[in-house]
Amino acid sequence: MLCLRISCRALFIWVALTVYLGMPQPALAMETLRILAWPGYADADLVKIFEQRHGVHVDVTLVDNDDVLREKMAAGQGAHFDVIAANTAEMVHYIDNGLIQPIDTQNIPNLRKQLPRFRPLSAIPGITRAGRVYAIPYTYSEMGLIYDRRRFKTAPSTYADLWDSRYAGQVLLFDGSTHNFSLAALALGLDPFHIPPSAKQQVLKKLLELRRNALAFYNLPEEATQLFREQSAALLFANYGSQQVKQLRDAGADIGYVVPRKGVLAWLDCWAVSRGARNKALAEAWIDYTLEPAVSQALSARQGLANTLEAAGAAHAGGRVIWLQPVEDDAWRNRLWQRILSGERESSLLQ
Amino acid sequence: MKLGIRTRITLLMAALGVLASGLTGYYAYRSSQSLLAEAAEREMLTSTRVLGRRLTLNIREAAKVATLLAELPATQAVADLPDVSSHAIAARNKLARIFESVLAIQPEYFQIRLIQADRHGLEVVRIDRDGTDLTRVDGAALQEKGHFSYVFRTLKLKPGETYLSPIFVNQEQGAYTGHGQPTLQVARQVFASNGRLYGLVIINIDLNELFDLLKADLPPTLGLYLTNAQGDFLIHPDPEQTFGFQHGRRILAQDVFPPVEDIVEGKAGYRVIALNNPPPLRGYPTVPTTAVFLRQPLGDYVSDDPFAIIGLSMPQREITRPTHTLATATLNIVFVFSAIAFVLALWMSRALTYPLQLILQAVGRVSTGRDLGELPLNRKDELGDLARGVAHMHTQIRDQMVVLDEHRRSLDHLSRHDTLTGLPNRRMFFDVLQQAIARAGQAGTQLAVMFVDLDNFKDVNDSHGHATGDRVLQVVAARLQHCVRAVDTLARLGGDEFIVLIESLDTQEPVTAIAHKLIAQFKTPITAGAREILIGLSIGISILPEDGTDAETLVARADEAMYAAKMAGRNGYRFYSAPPGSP
Repeated sequence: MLCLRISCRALFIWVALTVYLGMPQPALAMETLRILAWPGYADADLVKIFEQRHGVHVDVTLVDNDDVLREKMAAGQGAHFDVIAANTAEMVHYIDNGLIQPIDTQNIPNLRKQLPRFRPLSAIPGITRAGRVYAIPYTYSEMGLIYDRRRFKTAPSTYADLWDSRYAGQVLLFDGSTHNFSLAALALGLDPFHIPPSAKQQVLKKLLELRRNALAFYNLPEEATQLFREQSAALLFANYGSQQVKQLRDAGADIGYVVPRKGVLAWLDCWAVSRGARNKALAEAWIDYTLEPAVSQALSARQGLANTLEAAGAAHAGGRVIWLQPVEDDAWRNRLWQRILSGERESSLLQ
Repeated sequence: MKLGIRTRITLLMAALGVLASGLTGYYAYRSSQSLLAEAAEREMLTSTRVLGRRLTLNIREAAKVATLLAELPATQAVADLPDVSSHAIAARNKLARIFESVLAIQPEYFQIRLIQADRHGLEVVRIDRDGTDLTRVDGAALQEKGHFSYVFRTLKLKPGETYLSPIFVNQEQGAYTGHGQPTLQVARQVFASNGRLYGLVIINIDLNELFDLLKADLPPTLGLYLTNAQGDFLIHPDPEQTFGFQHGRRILAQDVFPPVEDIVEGKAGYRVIALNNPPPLRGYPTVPTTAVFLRQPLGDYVSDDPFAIIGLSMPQREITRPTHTLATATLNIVFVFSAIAFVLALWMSRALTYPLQLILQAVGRVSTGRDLGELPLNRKDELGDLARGVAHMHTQIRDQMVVLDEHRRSLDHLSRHDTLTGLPNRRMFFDVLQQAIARAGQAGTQLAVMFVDLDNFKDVNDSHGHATGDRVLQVVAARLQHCVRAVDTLARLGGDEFIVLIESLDTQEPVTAIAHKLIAQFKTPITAGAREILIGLSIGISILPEDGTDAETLVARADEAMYAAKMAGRNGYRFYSAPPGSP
């Protein structure tokens, strides 16, 4: 009886397969748009509307890490995807390696709806090259300062407050070489992404001061939240931006969030068209679609991320946004940062 | 093909036997398999518990060592003396030698340090393990550790408390062997003799070394996992799956083994997890695997991770390996029992069908009228009942047959004899005559048919009634019988006609003699009731072969001769043909 049922099932599967394989398959015949993006950038319901509007099929591949994104693009030299989302610093890498192609902005009329801060595109470093636009800004977050409201009469206003000795041992910083060097350079009035060799000693000294003022260096936002509360930190460099503000407020901390007016580091995620795109116009149509108010607002509502069409909260007003860029020497920053973090003193560090 | 009951019973019972032993074997195998799996899981759980307990014990031991070191007079001496004096340097050197001694006897420690609270947590005495050697880090190489949580958290301990760090990969530069290795730290506060908090003593434990020691007794097929309280892998058979959170990417045990979530959330103390179809992804086992994950409290310390999750995994084929032996043994048992079942089936079907065959044969004999032969009459079961029934039926049939035979015989007699006189009737006479003609033809002898008719018998009937007539006929028959030889046949043809067959004649002398004797017999009147009646006879004789060669002709000729005799004056006889030597 069992055998009979198994063979019946096998037969059924066989028949079903035969029928299925014998059928014409519209899904395969239909044009497909392949998107490589981050969670929340191409939600299924929004994708569906685009599919219906254009009569195409959309394949979404999600990544949660820049390195993975680089791997996926490197495999097949960008031929496996039509549209990708990455931050501006990463875009430089993709332009350098010829993995993305220039975008025809005429095909993206919704660009006109973007905030003035995103116009002209050439003013945003990393997304244009030789007068041609390679990427379209989609969402961003700045790395502001979170502070304990009970400890500050007036909100901190610049990254320089991280060095304030009044908060020695109460400052929480991110354990990231690039950003900390950029912070030190900014505090010294230097270009955060291009530290000249002559200024390196100066920057290292500044970083030692930062370390001695620090309570600790965190990796994950959860870690920062926990330390902030347990160790009564006063000031926090919000590497994860508004996400951390929300987390701390959810945890019941009485905090404020400021975007340093003199300049705030920020990452900016953009859409780009892959070098191997099958249908460039369709890829551009997708980018234009994401800049429709309904789609961009959905991103903000669901992910808590700022969109490029509407000005975010009051804290952001007026700040000079310094979009992340590739730095002069990743390896050097990282190497030196590990030594600083380990606790080396001037005597060995500045040899 | 037509199958006999015996074959069918044999096949059915053999099939039942094989099926029964097969099913028994199968279910025994299955339940043994699950018992084995359960036993293996229990064993893994026990191993995990032992491992966890040993981890806790090792941590407790390290905590005791840290406490001991923190409270040593040598440590206090360092805490009491200012930084630069020669006494201070001597005190540090002395403490360094003590640290070295401890590291020498504790291979699972990477590093022991005395760190001061002032000067941004500057290290004061520091011994590192460097391969097989121990290295003292001193002077400018001493680092400031104030921004590390193990420093600021230990310094905030209450008296008597011990700090236990989360397990992490030590990324601190200049840490020698401990660099890049999974590490666990225990720390104790150090006080100067005036009671002022001076700093801390901290021991870095080599988690790999610790687990290598712990794992030494376990089978090599076991995979070892360790996660922190959040489920981040710290130890994994694939080292690249560990400490993801230190590279900005969390690699969680609950993603690979979902039920670990319950342990992380505190809903369960342990979980046995069967990963029957692990996806072909990194971090997952490559083969179907069963794993045990266990929440292991690390002890009563101040720590962000009050517990760790320890897991052991084993490929399921390792767990089920003993069942192969079991399967072979089960198969053997099934085979033997099937063979026994087959033999039993043969024997039982024979035991059942042999009496049936006896009965069958007996029933066959019933129809042939022979004796029934051997029957299982003494059995106390249904077959005995059947046999007795057959025997009873046989007896009844036999009795009925006897009755029927008698009936048949009497009917036969009736059909061949005359009821009144008891003499053979016409039909029988003709049979006898035909046979006699055949015999005479063969033997070359003669025979005579003598047709006897009573004279005036009609008058007897008319005047004396039929009863008297019948009585007369009976007397006539008796007298005729008396005159013929035993070998001759007397029959009544009907009415008043009798006929006599005389066989084996060489001459016609005896015929004439018999004819005379017959006529002479009837000189005496016949007494019927009160009357005496005189009856005469007319006799016609035909002779084989002169007067005919078949029965009809002989009887007809004899009849004609009788008629002639009657015409010639009654009470006489006449041959159809004149006998030789007669007038």
